[in-house]
Amino acid sequence: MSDAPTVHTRGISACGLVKHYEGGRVRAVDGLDLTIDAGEFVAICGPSGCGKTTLLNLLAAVDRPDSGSLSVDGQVLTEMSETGIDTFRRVTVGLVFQLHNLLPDLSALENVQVPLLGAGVSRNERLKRASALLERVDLLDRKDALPAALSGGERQRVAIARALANRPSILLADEPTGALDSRNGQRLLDLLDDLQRENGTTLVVVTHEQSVASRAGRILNMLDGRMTDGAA
Amino acid sequence: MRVDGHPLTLLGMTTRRLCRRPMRSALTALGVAIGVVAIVSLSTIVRGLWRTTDQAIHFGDADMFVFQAGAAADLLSTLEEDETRARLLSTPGVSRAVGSLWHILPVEDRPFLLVLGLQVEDVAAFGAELVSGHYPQAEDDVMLGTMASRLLGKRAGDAVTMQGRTYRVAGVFETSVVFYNGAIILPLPTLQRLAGKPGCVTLFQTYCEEDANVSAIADRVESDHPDLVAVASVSEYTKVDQGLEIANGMVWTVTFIAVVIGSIIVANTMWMSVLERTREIGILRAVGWSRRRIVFMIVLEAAGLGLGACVIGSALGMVLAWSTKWLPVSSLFMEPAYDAATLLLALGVALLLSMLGAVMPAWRAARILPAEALRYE
Ligand SMILES: Nc1ncnc2c1ncn2[C@@H]1O[C@H](COP(=O)(O)OP(=O)(O)OP(=O)(O)O)[C@@H](O)[C@H]1O
Ligand SMILES: [Mg+2]
Repeated sequence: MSDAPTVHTRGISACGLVKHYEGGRVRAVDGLDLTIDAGEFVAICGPSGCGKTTLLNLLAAVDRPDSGSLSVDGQVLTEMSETGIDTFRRVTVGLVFQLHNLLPDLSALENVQVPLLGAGVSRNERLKRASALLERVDLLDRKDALPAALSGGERQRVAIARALANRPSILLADEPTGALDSRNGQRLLDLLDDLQRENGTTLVVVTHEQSVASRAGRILNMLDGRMTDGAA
Repeated sequence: MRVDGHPLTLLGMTTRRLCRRPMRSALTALGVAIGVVAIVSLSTIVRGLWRTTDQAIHFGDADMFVFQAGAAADLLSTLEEDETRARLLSTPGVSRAVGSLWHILPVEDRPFLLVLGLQVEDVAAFGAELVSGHYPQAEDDVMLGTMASRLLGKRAGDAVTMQGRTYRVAGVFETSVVFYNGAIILPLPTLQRLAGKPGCVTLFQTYCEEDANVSAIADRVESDHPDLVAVASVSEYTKVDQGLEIANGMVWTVTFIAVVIGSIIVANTMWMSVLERTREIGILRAVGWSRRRIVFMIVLEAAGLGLGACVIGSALGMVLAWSTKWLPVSSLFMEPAYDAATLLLALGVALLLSMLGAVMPAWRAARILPAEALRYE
């Protein structure tokens, strides 16, 4: 589908994006414009409650905007069917949640396999890819540990491995270092940095830490549901 | 690089899930199993009744039972002995017809026993194997089935009292049909007098010529003699008695109740399971799992509960049916039949009720919106 000629970029482009809650009293995302090129590393900064997670959910098609248009990797999310959205979530984006959101019953290795199972990847391939990903985030020796037995940083690394499982072209990370001390936070960013450079993945990281933002190629500031610096 | 460990599967996730709450899973399975126990034990008993009846019809290599048409129940069938025998024997293909009078009477301290009246010359041909003593010769000679002998505590040579008269136990016999073993055989004229039915019998064990088409002969008997019905197999027994069908109907009633109650129990457990997993389901949706896959996961989990119930319930049900052999009343009439059909019924019921129970929870799970679920604490 992305082969078709389209005016939309392979990156992310949003125009007049709106997501309100509670009948319009909470304007989480409020007429936001945004353009991110394919392969870019962008940090989105802003105070708590300004709508960063909401925006990321919209970009990951986890949530749908009230209005506005949004295209990600050449696909117009605002016009997509339910099954198209499923495929998009599975194939195009990887999402690292603000809280790691690993499944508590499943080991690290199994958690990484969850999106692969959802995509119908074969049994052997599931195991092979998940092991390779855990190796990449340096956790192969902890593959059988349940999330409860992992440290905060380890959980985030498993979450990153899971987000990368279906080889997305866009990786979205919501405060990936939020729960980590600065040394572990930097190590995690090194990892994201490397991954982005190795695969040419578009990387969008939400953060309110200056030290994290400064590693990005571009910083976008968000306030009250919009970008403040004419990011579009 | 080392690649070991197990690939994650939906089945694996389901088992993990059920084992994570072992008490809840076990109690749910147990609740559903109660219905399965009822189905399996009742079905085992009813199928035993059917099988025993079929054995009786074909006992001694007979081909069919011939009864009076329109009798309200099998034992109420009344046929004029000599005249009916003559008519049967004149039907082409019929080689032999042995008339017997069936009656229920209190015997000694037993409130009721099956009493069979046979002509003395037919007793040997009836097919019962003599265990001790000899066949009845005098008109007050009786013969006891092995179980009747045990119940009454009487052996060959002892005396037995029925309706205020005393009879002599000539011999003890054994057959392959349970309820014959619990019966007493009397000379036919003696029983006709006791029962007040002179010259009458209840049915004819009818034999066909070798290689004859039994069902064609049965049809011929019925069309030539509208006052007779021929029962060549247990499935035709409804022609003379509704007892077996009623028993069958009871199995279906119990099955229906078990399905209704079982699916409610499964629905309750699965609903809770979906609610407490709202966030997890949201995560699965967010990483690209389709609604269909979520629904399948819930259905699989419900099926796991159903299968657990099926295993527990079938085992307990069979034990329960088996234990009826210590109940004197039921052991006189039938032997439980443990067959695949009953287990298939239990399996079908377990799967059906888990599917029904999964409908609402699966619908709920499919409607979970990932964005909202991710905010769910
Ligand atoms: N489902 C919802 N219902 C009502 N209000 C919501 C909902 N989701 C988000 N909000 C509100 O929208 C605003 C933006 O929320 P969001 O989670 O996007 O903020 P954020 O920038 O990610 O904050 P933080 O840095 O604390 O994570 C907040 O005021 C929040 O309370
Ligand atoms: Mg947030």
